[in-house]
Amino acid sequence: MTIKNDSPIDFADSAFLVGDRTEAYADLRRRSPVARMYSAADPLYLVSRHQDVRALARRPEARVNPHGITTPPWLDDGAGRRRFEANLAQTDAPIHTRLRSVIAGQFLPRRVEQLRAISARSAARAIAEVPRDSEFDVVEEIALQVPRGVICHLLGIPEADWGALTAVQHEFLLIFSPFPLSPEEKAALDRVSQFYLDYFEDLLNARPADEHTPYVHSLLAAQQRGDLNRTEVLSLMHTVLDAGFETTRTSISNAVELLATVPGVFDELRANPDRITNAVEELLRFRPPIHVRERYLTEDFDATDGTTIPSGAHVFMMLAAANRDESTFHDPDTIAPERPNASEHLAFGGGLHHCLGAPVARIQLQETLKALTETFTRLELGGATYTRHPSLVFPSLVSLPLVASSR
Amino acid sequence: MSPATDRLLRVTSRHSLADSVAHYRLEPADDMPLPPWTPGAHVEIGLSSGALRHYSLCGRPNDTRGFEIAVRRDPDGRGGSIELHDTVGPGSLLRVSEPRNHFELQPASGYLFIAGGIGITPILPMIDAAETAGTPWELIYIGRSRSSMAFLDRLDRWGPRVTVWPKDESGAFDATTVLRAVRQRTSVYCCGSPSLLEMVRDVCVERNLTLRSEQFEASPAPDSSTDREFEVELTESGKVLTVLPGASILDTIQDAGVEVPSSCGAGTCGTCETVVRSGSPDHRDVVLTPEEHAEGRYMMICVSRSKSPRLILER
Repeated sequence: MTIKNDSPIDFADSAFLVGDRTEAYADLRRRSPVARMYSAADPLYLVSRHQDVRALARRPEARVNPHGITTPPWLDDGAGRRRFEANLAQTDAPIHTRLRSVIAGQFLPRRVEQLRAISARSAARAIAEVPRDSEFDVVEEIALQVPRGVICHLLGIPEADWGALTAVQHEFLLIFSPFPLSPEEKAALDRVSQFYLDYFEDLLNARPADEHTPYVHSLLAAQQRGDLNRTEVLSLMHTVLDAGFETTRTSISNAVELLATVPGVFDELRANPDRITNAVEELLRFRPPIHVRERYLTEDFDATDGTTIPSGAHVFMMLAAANRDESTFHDPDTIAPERPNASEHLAFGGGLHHCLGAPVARIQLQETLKALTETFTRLELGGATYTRHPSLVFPSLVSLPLVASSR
Repeated sequence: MSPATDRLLRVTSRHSLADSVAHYRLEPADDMPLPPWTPGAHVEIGLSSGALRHYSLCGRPNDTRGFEIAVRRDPDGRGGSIELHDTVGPGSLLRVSEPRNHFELQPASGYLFIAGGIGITPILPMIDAAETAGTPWELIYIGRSRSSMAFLDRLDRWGPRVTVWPKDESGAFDATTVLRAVRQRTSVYCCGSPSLLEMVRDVCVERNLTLRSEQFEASPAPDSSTDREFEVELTESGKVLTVLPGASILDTIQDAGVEVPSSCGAGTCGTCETVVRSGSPDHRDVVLTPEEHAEGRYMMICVSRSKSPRLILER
């Protein structure tokens, strides 16, 4: 797909997609804080200043789909489309309001605090099993393992199914593509969506309603009341896995990558474990898992540079670029575990679509960092080369070779 | 609205179509022709109160001499339709955007149009277009009662292709039964209330039918124009602060130097949840349950306000 644009970023440039985007994002923020992209599909704007992105994310009337439609026109009939129509992150009011209100209360910070012990256990178990002083893959051995406990606990998934369930999960990310899928990609999305719908249908049927976990039980009760249809029940189960696994895995991998490569941070946290909570915010600010979220405007938006983005426009909120905005964050390209306003980062988005699982993610990151600092004295990158998925939106680490020492 | 492309249009006629429904014709105040549009398009109208409202165009798409809209006076709405009904008549000037279309009629082998109430407006030009294209179509038009349903006379000529469904005669609309007979390749176009849309959407999902829809819905943002100022007292610092209309509790106490974690700014995520020691919160979050709202022990201070003159918060 070629896009003529006045943005310094080339979406098709693989060096940009897999690389360190610090310079490209700085360039974008300074030169074109509201960059117009000319695509065949719709008027597209890249917004990269913190103040603008924050305001856009918080607009209650802005939508994640164009006005009047619930699915992209290119996503034709099939399991992918059915899944999309019930996907929390991709629906608008009134559907989004209805879906979210069924589950939102269960993810309040004070309620998910009970998941801390499970998270700590998962982190401790993973870290106990990695080798000392010899190279291992953080993504596979730690980041993939930590979310398992919480997700299996919430959904009642047998832990034996974890491998098979996560093996194909990456393919499901096609559903978040801001660009039309090729026929092959569309077929893959249908296949993987059907796989998950079938898996969760089987899981529901495997036991009576009152033997399910409280989360699943609340979904079934909502279906009983007529507040959810069956596809929505299955989708809200899959969402816990999809959103809870991919992003948590990537946030943990990113954090460990920074601890292993940025001098001083790991030592500072070892010496001052009380800084871990804020350091988690700082690491999410510095390297968030998701770089872009989309909105469609239903009212004009006046950006800080004086540009008016018209109603109807398709906007890419450049979360990762906004997180390095020097007008909000002093010395933004430095990691400062005690940064006073670190939690103003936009890694979890904002507004009505703010990440539902954010407090769970925070707990898992905090407990992982705690276990790492209590177990190891030094973290260093291993010798193997490693890379990220070449994705504009979600450049997750494919692997991360690490050598950890406890001596 | 966009100053570059907005036009000042004059209301040249206003007449009543049904209970609480008025039809307006708007023509340019100058000689410049209006841009043509496509069925499903709407315009944004700026009212003198400053309110901006969207109305579907229901006239002829190639009529470059005037736009036509039909508006139901909604006493429970945000006030735009009341202002239009009560203060706008022939001779009034209105600021009108160029037509925009988020509800475009796509080629299909057949159409089923479903309109709820004033949601009939964008469907009317769609019917003409389907007729011109020679595509088979049917319309189901649902309303409270015949007397509340606009354009029944204009639809009369289509005979059995139009099903008129006044709920006081035909009972509640049941999308499942009605859509059972629809052929797989038919595209469904629905315009109406959120509840109608959802019902139709659910059946279309079950039956794998293509659905396009436009929703007539008020903004989810609460009306902030009646917000009053109140005081918050913070237990930890002993500070007493005044929260002004237009400012949130969160902003006010952060500006006073009290650190409070927050994240979504929309009453969604729960990060800024605060314990209420005394006072009566005016809850505007979407995360606490109705029971918790009634109990009033916790509140989300990024959006919620106070019903009592003072709140005492554990901060």
